[in-house]
Amino acid sequence: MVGQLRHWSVPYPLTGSAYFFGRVGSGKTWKMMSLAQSFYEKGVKIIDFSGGKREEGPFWCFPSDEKKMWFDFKQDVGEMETEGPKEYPVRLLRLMWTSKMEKKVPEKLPRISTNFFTIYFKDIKIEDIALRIGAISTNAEYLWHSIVKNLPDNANGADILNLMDTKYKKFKELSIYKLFIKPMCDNHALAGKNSKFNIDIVEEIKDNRTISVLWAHKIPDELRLFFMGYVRRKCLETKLEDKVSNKIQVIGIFREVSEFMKVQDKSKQGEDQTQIFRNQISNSARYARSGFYLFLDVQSPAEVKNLIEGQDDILGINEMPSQRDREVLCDQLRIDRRISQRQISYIATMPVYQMVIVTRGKKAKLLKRVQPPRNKNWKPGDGNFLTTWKKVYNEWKSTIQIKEAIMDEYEERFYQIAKERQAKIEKARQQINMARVKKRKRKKEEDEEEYLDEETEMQESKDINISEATEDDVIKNKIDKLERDKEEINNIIEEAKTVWC
Amino acid sequence: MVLTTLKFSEEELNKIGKIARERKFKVSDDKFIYPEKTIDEIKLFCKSYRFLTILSNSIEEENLRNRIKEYLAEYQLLYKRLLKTESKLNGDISFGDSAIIRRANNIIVKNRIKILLFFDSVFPIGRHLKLYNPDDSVGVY
Repeated sequence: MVGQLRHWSVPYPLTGSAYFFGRVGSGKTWKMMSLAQSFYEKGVKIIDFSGGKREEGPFWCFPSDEKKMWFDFKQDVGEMETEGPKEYPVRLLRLMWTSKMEKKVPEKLPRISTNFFTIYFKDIKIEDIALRIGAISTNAEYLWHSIVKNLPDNANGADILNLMDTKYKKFKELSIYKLFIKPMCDNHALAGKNSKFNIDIVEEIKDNRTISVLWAHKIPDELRLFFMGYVRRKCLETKLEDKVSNKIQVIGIFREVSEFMKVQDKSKQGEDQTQIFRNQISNSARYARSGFYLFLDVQSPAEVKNLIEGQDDILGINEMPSQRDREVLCDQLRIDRRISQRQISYIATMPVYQMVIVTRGKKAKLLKRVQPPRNKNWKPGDGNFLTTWKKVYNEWKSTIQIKEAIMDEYEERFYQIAKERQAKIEKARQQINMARVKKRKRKKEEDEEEYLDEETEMQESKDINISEATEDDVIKNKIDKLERDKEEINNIIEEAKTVWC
Repeated sequence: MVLTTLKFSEEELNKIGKIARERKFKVSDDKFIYPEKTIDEIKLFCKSYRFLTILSNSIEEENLRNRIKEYLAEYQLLYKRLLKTESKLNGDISFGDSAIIRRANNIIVKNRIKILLFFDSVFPIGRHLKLYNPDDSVGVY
């Protein structure tokens, strides 16, 4: 006889985000995955944003191999309608980063594919760039806005580099150029509007039967926040602007969120960036009703205190031996009589397969056996994703064509730029030549006019000579004229003298 | 206390079960796999009794119909006693709940074996066991 156990289903549709707390090894991540998978079955789109430092995101590709865990689970729930482990369709999304691109990447069609994507440079807002360089100066803001304004839609990183080498040469010392524009353009991550590699978040969300995993492999650590932040913003905007059906809800999974959410023991390194990202995350949580929900897991609630309080739809509490953590998390719930003192005490030594769950408007409930995740989850001894892939599937796709294609796009633009520059130079040269010709023509005309005047004068004098006067007469006339002038001058001098006297 | 020995034979169970499936009559409860609480037990008992009554009325074969009615007659008294409790529990009364449940519990304890036998007869006919579906649920509580 099976005990009096009732099946627990997730509250659907979601109206807020979900947070999972627990100590290291309390199974908070895999319980979060289980809940996310249950939402997936109800038609919710899953986007795995962050796999933590171990890059656990791509483990969605493998079905669960936890035979013992499933056996134990069956002991509690009895026979199951379908098999537990499941193979999910997965799309691994990687930012184009040509300098560190491997020769082959994992791919197992039609279920698993790896897509390298570029970003349409006009889609990047200054708040995204702030996730890389921290506080944005007015000069940097002006520079980015000018780049976006001056360049056409079909331009790409090549145009930006060209612009920086020519028109905005003086801005080359700014951090926005050194830390963001230069590395992004050098690695072909920025593209024009019509590039086939551009990420289309609307299409990504519409395809809610495929799990999208952002795989920040080989991307510099400093750019990870930008990578996540950009996709997060686009997802939120897509939902806010109703570009996809309201029926499709989106869940963004963030593992080990304390990496960028913690308010205690913060490191000075990259503090600005994490602060900006934190604000953006809490904004997303506040706009949750638009249809974009966050699933976050964190070790200690004290680390994220006041950030997410009261905005949760699902709160998963796992084993938590720390008295302080329990107080921070459960005090309000206890005051509201949503959790009992016995439950709070039980949390301290709860087994790994159990979880206290608090859903919106309801009392805390102890799940006596949480279903294990249906995909494989990282555990000590597994190694990283690529080594596991090699062991399990070992199917690969060459990246040479992708690399060549994006480089061709850039080269085409370089060629276009050179061609345009050549055309400009030609035009300028032609204009100069035209101007020279015009000048010469004008000078020639003037010269001709002068020549004609002289000629007419000469002609007149010649006429005089020929007609009436002789040379002696001319000289006589000139002498007379000079004498007359002299007399006039003398008269003036005399008059002046009389006046002065 | 004299225990009832009246039971359906295998053949009869198959016949009745087939009719129940054809007519889509079910004794199902999604919320529990097996009742342990007094309230659940009372509810399931009353539900099962009603299910058999409906089934007996819709069966055309006279012998089988009489057999079920004969079977039900044995439980009629118990059903009537528990029905009162069930209707009280279904109503929105908070005052005196514990007294009602205590009384019902006494009845059930006294008739424990009878009720279990009844369940054993009814479950193969009309019980729809809800299996755990990992697509739908995330765990048990």
